[in-house]
Amino acid sequence: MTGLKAGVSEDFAELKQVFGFSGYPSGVALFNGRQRALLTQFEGSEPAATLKQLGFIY
Amino acid sequence: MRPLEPAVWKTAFAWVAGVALSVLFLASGLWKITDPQSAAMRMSQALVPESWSLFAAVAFGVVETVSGVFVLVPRFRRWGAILTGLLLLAFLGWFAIHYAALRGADCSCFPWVKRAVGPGFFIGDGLMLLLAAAAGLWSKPPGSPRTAALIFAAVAVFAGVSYGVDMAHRTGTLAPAAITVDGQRYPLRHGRTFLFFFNPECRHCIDAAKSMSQFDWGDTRVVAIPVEEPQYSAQFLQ
Repeated sequence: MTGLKAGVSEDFAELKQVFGFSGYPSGVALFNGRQRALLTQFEGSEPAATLKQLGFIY
Repeated sequence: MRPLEPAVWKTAFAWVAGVALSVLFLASGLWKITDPQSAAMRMSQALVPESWSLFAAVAFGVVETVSGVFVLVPRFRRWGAILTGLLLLAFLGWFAIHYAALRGADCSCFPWVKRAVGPGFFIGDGLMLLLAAAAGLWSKPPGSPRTAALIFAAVAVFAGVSYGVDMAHRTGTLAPAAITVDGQRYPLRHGRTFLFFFNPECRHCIDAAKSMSQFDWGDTRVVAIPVEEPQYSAQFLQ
């Protein structure tokens, strides 16, 4: 349907407890286990601009 | 007549081999030292036990860097050749033992060069082993062990400082050490990971995922976490 290459985790409850939950779609960028950014904008240039700035995409 | 001096072409070849090995091992070693967490993540992917991956990344980074320096300097070249040879034998042995599991995967040998584990990998490392043998055999006897020890110590200190700086810069909410992804334990504390929270039936989530499927993620790992209707996750990602 979407073609997104990702693993699937059903540990939502555990992750929600740690990072909170900002609705869907949303994303958390982790670097070496630490939260670098919370992404809640998925329109226009986002999240590409933020992910590129963080070095998560090229 | 000077029977103990190697032929000029052998000395020249030892130089070429030394420089080539030095470039490769310095690139690999300095990358591990300056970005130990990413190197550890790649080691985990190469089936190094998670609990050992960070130590292995730093230790291999130090030894590879020292090897790269030694094999470049004529008076240490033989020691450098021995070290690079031992490292190459260790890599060949590791990937031979785990060949079935790692076949086709990136060997994570160098930061910018992708090398898939397969026959080509063994041929490549075999050639490097021959270069190491030539560099060692056709170089002059080694000397100055004190200077060599100082170089080793300096690299080790540099690795320690680099690791300390990396640790000091760690801020932000700490993720769980591991979660379950596709039924397997999945470490979160090495490298870049993007957690994507979605509902498989949400139109906005579908559009967002379609858009993100076009990104060049490089080494970043993506984990999709359904907040509702998890039974439709596989269909969502297809």
